[in-house]
Amino acid sequence: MQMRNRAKIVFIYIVLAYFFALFFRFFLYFLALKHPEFQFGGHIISIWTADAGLHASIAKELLTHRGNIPHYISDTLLGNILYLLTKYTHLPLDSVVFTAPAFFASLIVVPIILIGYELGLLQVGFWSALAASVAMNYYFRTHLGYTDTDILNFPLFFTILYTYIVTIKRKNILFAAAGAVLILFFHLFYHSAKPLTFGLLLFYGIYILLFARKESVLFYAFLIYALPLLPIKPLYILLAIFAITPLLIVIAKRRVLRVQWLLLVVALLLPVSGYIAYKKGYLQRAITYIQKSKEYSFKDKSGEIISLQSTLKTVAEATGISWKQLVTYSSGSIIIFLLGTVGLLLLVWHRKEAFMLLLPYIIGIISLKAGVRFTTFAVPIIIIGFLYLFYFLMKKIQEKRFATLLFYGPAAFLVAFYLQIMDVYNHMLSPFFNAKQVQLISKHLNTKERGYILTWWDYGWPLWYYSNKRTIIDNGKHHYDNYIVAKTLFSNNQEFVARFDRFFIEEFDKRFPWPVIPYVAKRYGLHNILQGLQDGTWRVPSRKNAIYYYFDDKILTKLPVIEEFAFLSEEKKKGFVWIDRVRMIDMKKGVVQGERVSIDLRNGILQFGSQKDRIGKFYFSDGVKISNTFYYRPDEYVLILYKNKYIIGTYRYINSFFFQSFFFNNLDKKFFQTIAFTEDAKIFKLIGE
Amino acid sequence: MRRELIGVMFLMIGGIVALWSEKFVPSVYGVVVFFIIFLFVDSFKKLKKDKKSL
Repeated sequence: MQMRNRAKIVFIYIVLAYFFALFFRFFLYFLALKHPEFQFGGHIISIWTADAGLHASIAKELLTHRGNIPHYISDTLLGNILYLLTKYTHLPLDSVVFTAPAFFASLIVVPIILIGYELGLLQVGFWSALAASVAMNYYFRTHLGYTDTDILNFPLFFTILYTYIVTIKRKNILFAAAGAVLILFFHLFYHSAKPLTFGLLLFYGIYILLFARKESVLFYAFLIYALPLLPIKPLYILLAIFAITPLLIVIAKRRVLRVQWLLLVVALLLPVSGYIAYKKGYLQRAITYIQKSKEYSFKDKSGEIISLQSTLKTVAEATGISWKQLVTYSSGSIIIFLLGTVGLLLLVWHRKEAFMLLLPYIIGIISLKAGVRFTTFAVPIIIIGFLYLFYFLMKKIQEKRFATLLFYGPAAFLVAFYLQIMDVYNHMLSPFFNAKQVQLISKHLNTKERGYILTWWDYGWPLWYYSNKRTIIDNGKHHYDNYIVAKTLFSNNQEFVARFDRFFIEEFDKRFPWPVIPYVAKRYGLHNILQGLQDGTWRVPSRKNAIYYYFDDKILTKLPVIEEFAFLSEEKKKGFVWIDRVRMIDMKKGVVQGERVSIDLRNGILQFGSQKDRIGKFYFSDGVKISNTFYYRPDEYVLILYKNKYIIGTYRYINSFFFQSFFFNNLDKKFFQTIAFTEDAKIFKLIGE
Repeated sequence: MRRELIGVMFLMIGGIVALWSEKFVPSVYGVVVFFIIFLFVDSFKKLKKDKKSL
């Protein structure tokens, strides 16, 4: 009866915490309703991050069969879930995509409360669940419109972690079987799940060797947890879990094997599973995050090795972070971070099973090298540690007056603190494309003709969703073929650009979706092609696909990175480009002040720190036309003040395809047609070749 | 459990007030202060009750 009552209380806590998380996550919905530019077609625009574009595109593909999604995409399960939800709830796909994160990400409260319950700290678990559900990077990566696998990755990871804790605590193999089934699902759901589940298994093995060498049941549980790592079909793994679990339960009850033998088996299995994980490439993804390669290389027809820039080192979320960023993203404050760490260590000291909680904390620390996304793992753990510290102090003085305040005060303030940050963050968010951009894309890039959109890879997945066209690079595939887009954008010769794009798009179309650059380099020789396209001697294939170019203001901040990709490694760069945000414009004094630079408009002098440079021209662009031009001297260093928001500086690229199209709408009409040129977006079409 | 229930109730009321008044920070922190006052009064009542039973 008491057990049933406790289960009832846990259930009530879970329901309460879930509705709390759901309620506050919908604040973004109410905020979006106040912005007409966030709404299109009677709905709030669904895609608020590029990642959401992928899963929404998969769902849309299943609903409409447009055929613009490459077949190499592996994480399709979330897209399928969105498709089924749309199909059976009869809700618009946009609404399902936008609101799905609230319903899925709020599930994080379930494992946190259960972990608290299992550790005998139900109140700590409950308040931690409230705080973690809206806290820092967990919220930043799972808010409405952020429909990525992360909305279920963390609930799944922490539920698997819970099964480890409960297996250790209750010494019941059935929980390990449930955990193994969840691990299997996690592997199917998320392509990078294997290093995480392997990490959990490793930690569990270390726990056994350190603290539970005489617990034979935990050794058997280890074998069950190791099953999902086997390099066989998921169905066979599932069958193996169901077949082996009862067998091991019987063996464990009859104590057939001595603990020493089991210890030996686990000690041997640890390196063996490590070897399998390494050989099968399970750890490859984790390693690529930590050791980012600098270049991609391939062999040319001539035998020469050609190198191009690597992307992972330029992806913001995969770039290592500082300690300050780690503290901010994982806890929001150095005090919470430090107290949370102390509390976590105290918790591990008092309850050995909590040792498993150290893994997500360590993954959080690894973000220093691997990137900001990994701080998310530490968010709930630091909160649990922080609240446990105050719970422990409360218990120490529980006989004293007002002892409860010592725990409930900090707990309530912590939740309020994270809610405050959530609210501030909500005000900084906006959809990936605003209403006018969605309107332009829907109108011009959904034509009947088969075609491609050439733009930087950040736009790939969202464009798949809103258009019926393909892209050659996207948010998941951005290595060799970045060169095609970058070279297009930074080439001065528009006739060359027309021939270059026609050639590579038609070649890519034959190989879709695989990279085309290494293929043509091996077949024709990259230097031969470039030279031939430059002087017009290379025969350009006949037109089978329409080619569009899409740009909006988001591409401006990427320009310095794109420029790096526009040259082969052995080539010397032609010029440079930089961008700065405007702080102040004083036309009377003739000063434009940026965050890093200052411009003397009267004399045409640019100041960057103590360094001074003479500029040739200064253009004022309102987003559509050049409203004013200052001409100083015949110099190729040119500055553009764009929408009074950005200062873009460029040396020798002012005549390039990108600058001429984006700022001046000045493309050669023999080759290119302007489809849309508004403040919000610029769309062009290749017509000449 | 009572404290947890009341705590969540206070926070959600704070959220509703924040939505209605468009003043997030005072609403949410305001209810936290109310919650702490509640805990204070609750402890005080319990103390009185304990004294009486003695």
